[in-house]
Amino acid sequence: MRTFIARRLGVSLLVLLTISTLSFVLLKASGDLAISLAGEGSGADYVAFLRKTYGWDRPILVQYADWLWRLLRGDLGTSFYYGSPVLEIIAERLPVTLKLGAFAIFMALGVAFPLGSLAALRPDGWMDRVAMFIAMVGQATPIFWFSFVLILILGLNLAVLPISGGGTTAHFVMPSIALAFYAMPAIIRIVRGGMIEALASDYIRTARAKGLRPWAVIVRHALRNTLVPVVAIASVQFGFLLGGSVVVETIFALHGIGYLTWEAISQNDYPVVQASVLVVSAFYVVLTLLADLLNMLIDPRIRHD
Amino acid sequence: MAILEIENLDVRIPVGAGVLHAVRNISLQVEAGQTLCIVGESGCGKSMSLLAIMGLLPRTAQRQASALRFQGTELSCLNARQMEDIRGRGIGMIFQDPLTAFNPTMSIGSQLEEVHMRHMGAGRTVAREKAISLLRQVGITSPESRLAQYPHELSGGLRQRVMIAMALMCDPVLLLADEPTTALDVTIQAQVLRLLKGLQQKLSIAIVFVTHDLGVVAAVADRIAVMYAGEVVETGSVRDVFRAPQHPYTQALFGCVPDIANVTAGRLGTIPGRVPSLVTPIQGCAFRERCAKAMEACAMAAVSLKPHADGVFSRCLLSAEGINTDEELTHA
Ligand SMILES: Nc1ncnc2c1ncn2[C@@H]1O[C@H](COP(=O)(O)OP(=O)(O)OP(=O)(O)O)[C@@H](O)[C@H]1O
Ligand SMILES: [Mg+2]
Repeated sequence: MRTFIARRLGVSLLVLLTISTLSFVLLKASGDLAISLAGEGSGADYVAFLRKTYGWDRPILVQYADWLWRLLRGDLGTSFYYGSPVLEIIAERLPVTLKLGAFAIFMALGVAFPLGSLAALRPDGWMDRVAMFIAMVGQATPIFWFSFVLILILGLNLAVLPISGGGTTAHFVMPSIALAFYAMPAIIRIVRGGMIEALASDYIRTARAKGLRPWAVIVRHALRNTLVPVVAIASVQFGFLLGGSVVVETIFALHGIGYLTWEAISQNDYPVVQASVLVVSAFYVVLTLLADLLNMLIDPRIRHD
Repeated sequence: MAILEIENLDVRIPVGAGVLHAVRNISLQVEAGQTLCIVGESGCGKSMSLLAIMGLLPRTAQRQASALRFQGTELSCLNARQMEDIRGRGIGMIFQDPLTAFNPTMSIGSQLEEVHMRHMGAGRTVAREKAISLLRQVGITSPESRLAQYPHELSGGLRQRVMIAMALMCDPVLLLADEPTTALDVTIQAQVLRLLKGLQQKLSIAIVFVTHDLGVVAAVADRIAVMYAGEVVETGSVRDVFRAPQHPYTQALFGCVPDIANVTAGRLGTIPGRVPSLVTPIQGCAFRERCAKAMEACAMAAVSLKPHADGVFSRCLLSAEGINTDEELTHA
């Protein structure tokens, strides 16, 4: 078990290093930063001055080492646009996105778990059809369109929820629903598939042979065995949500990482774009790591491997 | 008293092409304190018969019986909840494959304890003591430490013994054991069989014991039922059937064991030819195509179970006509 965790941690660190390298390379490949920072029509002297100030005149490997060293100490650079440290900006925006993502994933799980399980009890029964229909609609509906429908109904017609901004928890409800709707189909399918497989297995027959009540058979015996793939997919979906929240945050004017990324892209604020990508990716890595650790707790076979 | 009475049990399972008639019109009876052994080739419907009693057939399977009585109660009249109260409590079942029959994500201990807690209402501590004592009785050393282990950490033999203990957690009146000793070595098997015998005498348990091992039959059975292609082709007291098997199928099964009357160990014989498909209707005797003694009449009509001497029943035209006497057999 120790070696498993150690190996898993090692892999995570390697992935993080790869991501950071990639984000550095991509930024460098995107063009001459000094020129775009100086703005069109600036003199060559000014460009050269910027290049020197930011150290972009040094060999690329030196720049990389320097950048990585700063990164390790938590220095993500300075925003071109705001002039303040990128880390501060990110730290201010990250909680909004995390809150949104957490709301959304728990909402998605809260709907997908019962729905997928009920669907699995009678494959091709009417509950199954309903669940698969919802999953299909969820998959086919563009997230921005669904957001507008929500705004129209909940925000304007019924006027029960605020349309934009992030002042109160109520502001998070609609964006969370929109994101949850987007994350739900995959989870429904996984829960349903896992549940069907579990219910058909021999140990469920054993549980029934012991005279256990149906709820005990399903909750204690079947559900536990569907958790492993669900945890795995939920962590991936949560990562998607952090990335996918760009659209939703923009629509609902929630000032999270997604909104920040969108702003930064339109303002050519490269350090912020780079840091946002880096932070979201890092979360991804951490989430899958947590999912693996959680699955070790759920399934002893993984634990003893 | 008859603990289990089965009359004309039929099990049909819809499969892609048609309907698989897995169990055909079988009738069995087991008294308190008695052991009935069911033997027969793979696929002849032994497991399906046991599952039919438990009400645990595959979802699509259809069960029909003119009687299916446990301690005088007609099981097909019970609702789901009443059946749940009997399963695990009055009837314990040992499943054929102890690797897949355990929940891989739950410890041995909780899987044992939950049956007891479900039916006996005595809490976890009592359930745990019962589990430890049963594990010790099936020959597992340091049972306390086993409780925390998971199924994949145990060897096949250990799993099978835990399975046996699990079926005995609530002191059942009837035990349905589907090849419970196949994964055990000879000494452990003997120990487990002694345990079952002992418990049977003490609590007067009725046991239905599916096995391929004639040595096991000789060691535990009072009565035997030989199944072929979903039918019972011969049944009677184990002494009489061993001494003078009536049905050609039984004779062929016993064929490879040199001295059937003193058998201590030995697998059932293998017989050339193939079992007929259970999906297409069988004309006449199901065994006729592999039978050395088949006659024209065997293809004409289905053969019914006919009484023979000593309460042995056999589904063969020859046995009814009294041709298969002991003398004839020794020449055969
Ligand atoms: N779930 C199922 N669906 C359809 N047919 C099945 C199913 N399970 C078993 N059968 C068929 O039912 C028949 C009886 O099977 P059963 O498991 O009772 O045999 P068995 O006598 O227990 O054999 P074995 O000695 O191999 O355990 C076989 O022909 C088998 O192919
Ligand atoms: Mg079987």
